[in-house]
Amino acid sequence: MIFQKNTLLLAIILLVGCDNSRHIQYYKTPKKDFGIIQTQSNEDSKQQVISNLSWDLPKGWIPSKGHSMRLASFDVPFSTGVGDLSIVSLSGISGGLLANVNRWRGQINLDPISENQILEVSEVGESKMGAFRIFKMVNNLNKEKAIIAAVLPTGNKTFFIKLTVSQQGLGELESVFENFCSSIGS
Amino acid sequence: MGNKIIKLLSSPKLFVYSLVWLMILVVVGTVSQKDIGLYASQLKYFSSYFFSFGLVPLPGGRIVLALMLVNLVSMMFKQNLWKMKKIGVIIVHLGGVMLLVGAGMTAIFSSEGSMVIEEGSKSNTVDDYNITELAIIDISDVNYDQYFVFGQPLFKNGNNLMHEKLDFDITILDYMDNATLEPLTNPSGIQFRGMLKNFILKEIKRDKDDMKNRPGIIYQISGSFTESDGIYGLIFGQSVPATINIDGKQYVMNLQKKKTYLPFAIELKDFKKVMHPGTEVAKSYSSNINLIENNVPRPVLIEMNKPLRHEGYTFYQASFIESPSGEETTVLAAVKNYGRLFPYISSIIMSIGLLLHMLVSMPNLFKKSIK
Repeated sequence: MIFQKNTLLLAIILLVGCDNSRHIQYYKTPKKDFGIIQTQSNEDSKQQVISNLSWDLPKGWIPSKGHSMRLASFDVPFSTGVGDLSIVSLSGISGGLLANVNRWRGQINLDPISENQILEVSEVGESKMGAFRIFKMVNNLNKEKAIIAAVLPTGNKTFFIKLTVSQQGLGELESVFENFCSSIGS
Repeated sequence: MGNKIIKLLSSPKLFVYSLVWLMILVVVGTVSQKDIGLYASQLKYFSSYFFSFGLVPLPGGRIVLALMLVNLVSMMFKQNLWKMKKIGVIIVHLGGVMLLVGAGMTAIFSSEGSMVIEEGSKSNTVDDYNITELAIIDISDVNYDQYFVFGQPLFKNGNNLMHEKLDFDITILDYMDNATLEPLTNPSGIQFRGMLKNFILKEIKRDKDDMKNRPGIIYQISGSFTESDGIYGLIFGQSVPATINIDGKQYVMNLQKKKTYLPFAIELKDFKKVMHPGTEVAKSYSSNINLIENNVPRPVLIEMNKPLRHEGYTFYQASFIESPSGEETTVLAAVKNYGRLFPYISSIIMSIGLLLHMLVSMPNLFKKSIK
């Protein structure tokens, strides 16, 4: 009987005590490129210069063919697809914020809004060439197409940086888009 | 009371009832795969101690197998078993015990995952198929990355995760087996950071194809006393990981499949596939690899039915990825199973036991047939 009691005890200890997971781990690995711009060191960022305009190109962005209006185009991958990023340079203010933002809104079937509303929904960022405004445009009826765009006015030119991507992609790429815009300089 | 329990646990009836219940579990578990998928079914019916049928808790596969093990071992200590004429029965019991111990080892210690290697590159990590982990990676040092990894069993609402070398604490607010990102219609609260400023992580129904499930996690960072304190969200498969800066250190935060680092590396030299003529269906594919251990490469060919076995791991040729530009990537299934040999050995032992039992019982059988 004593054997049986010990057997039972041993079985219970094994059943309760066995665990294959060390749930918290700490280790060091050789440096890996996470595709982000590091704040301490710019060694990993790849600076690209096109038409006297420079930017830090995030890892994984692939130059693509755009139409002639575009200064540059990139395929921007995210977890379930690829977004299209364009950089366009136009002289002066090129129709102004209102016309351009409402044109983009129209591309994803959103109604036009007023200039005050546009300024309310935009965020401001700072690039090497000055401040820019970022606009996020999402239509809940069309999850496959959303737009995040930045307008960067300089003295005699305005730069339009626009990323067209699914809503999922917008969520994933928003911060890297903002970092990219911040890196733009001359 | 104690003796009664022991008597019950060593009763042969318990073994028979357990066996019948196990059969029912196999049928129910197999049928339910159609609706909830292979992995969820395995978790619910076979890898659980108990599962609920409506409001009724029922014993799961693990508890049943544990009972059978206790039952078999208990029976071994019955005095009337230890007789020469029952040597065959004793050996069969030993074989059964070994089979169940092997099953336990497989259930508790085995792991399986995938190793994805592009042609010309090498890897020494296996990504688990199912288990996720939250990795906080300090990338500030120019020579190495420091990983603080918290495993999925810790993802319980309200659970605090901390490490002595981390300058902040993490509190789990929600973990979702399958999640999606939806844009916010109203401005988010000021406590939200990263993508949660504009998006909401929403749980969706688990897909029966586990590969399609994208786990999500919402957690709070506190204790850094910087602007980085706040609520963050991550979804599995984010191409751009979330980052925070605290006291001059930059951290990458990633929800990833549990990574196992191997003491050796595999380099893909060449991937070959043969298609069925006139179709896009692969007939066979193979990976020509270098197994690199202590910086010494050894060429090995892994084919569909010829896996590589090394250091307790078995690497099967599972799949491949071909990019539009023609770059090939191999997908190897990596399995580590400590109980792999137990079914073979225990089957041999049980066969020997049955044979012995038959030989010992034969004279009596002959006597009976003569009468």
